[in-house]
Amino acid sequence: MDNDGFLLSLELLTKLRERANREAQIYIRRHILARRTNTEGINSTLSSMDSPIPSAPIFPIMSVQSYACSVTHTKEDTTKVFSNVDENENSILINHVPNDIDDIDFLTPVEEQALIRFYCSKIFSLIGPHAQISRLQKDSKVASTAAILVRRFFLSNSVMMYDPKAIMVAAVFLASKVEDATVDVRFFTFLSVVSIIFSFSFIFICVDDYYNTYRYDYSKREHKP
Amino acid sequence: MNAPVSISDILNAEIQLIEGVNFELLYFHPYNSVMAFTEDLRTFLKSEIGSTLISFINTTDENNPDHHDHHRILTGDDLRPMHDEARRIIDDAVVSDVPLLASPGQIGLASLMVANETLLEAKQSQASIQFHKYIQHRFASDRKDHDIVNLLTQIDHVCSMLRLLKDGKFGCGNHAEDLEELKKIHKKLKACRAWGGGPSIEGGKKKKRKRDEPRG
Repeated sequence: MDNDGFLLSLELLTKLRERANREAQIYIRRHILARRTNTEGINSTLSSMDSPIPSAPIFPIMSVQSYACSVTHTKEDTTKVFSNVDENENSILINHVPNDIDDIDFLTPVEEQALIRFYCSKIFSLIGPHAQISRLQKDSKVASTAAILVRRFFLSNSVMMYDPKAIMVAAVFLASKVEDATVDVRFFTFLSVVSIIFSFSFIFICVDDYYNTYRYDYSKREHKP
Repeated sequence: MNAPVSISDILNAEIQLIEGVNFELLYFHPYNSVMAFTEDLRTFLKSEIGSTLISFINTTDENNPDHHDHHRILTGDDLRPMHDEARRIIDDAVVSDVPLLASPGQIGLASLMVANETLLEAKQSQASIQFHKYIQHRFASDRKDHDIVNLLTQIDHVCSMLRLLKDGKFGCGNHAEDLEELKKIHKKLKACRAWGGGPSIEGGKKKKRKRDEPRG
């Protein structure tokens, strides 16, 4: 058990999440700083013109991190990568991030976990044996694959970097493909989380009508548990 | 939190997701191991050694509720409630952190043990199975003694995790949800996220304009 890269201890789990959180904070701080200097520069040159300030540059995509909880990584690898990054980060934090961007209230790792917990708990009502939409009623293993995909993704990445809801829906879609129970991606788009949280019945009626207009006969391919 | 996710968002997020899990998409779940262990218990508990590990609490005998009937023969339906309860426990376990901490086989076996306990406490089942002895008998042949002890402590640890899932520990959100708290967190997230336009860098005017934009 100790040599398996895909099993972690609780401490390592917490450490990884704290690391992802810290990395996202540094990233966001840096780009806010870059944007501030950009805007100031534009302001000084274009101050006489009435044209609106060009919209701030879109955040360049930070490469997706993946080093934790994987079969090809041993536990030592995970720990090693983790400790290296840890040292680098501290130096970055001290050298490159000035102190005047302290007004941003970042999420704590615990708060991130609360969000992930919430979205993970909605997976079973999105897809699973008791899904709210009959076309999405699949075997439990699809939902559990989706849940573990989300969990593993957010071990290395932060909620502040990637939209947890989009990742959750994508995980469900991907899990349906992985577990050989593919559903059309359109089934997920109208299934907003609002319908799950607040259960407005009229939304379900709209959603059902929408689905009925499609003539795909998924029922023949439906996986019977 | 309320807006639907567009198709392009899903497809983009899917690519990020695949990269973020290091392109490893094959996962094993405890559901199969629950089925396999139940099947194995059904045959093992009928054998000569196995039949000593199960005792039936005779609930019909009101004078002596703790009377254990060792001579009853196990039938297939005796294990069904335990199997169903174990699957319910696993439904909670798979959305929590437990799959990252223990292997599917351990979770499956532990969930059966927890299910057996809870059913006995709720008096919905009559069969009381001694799982520790079952594990010792089953895995003794190819392991040394201290391995078995390790295995038992591991399984007990997983059991204790599974028992805490009902209280929302280990990231299991199936039972209790504090929506007010979540809304607060979500509001906070809007001010410090890199996606969806990013955090606002200036004062009220910009913030207001951002809020009017449809979220996707």
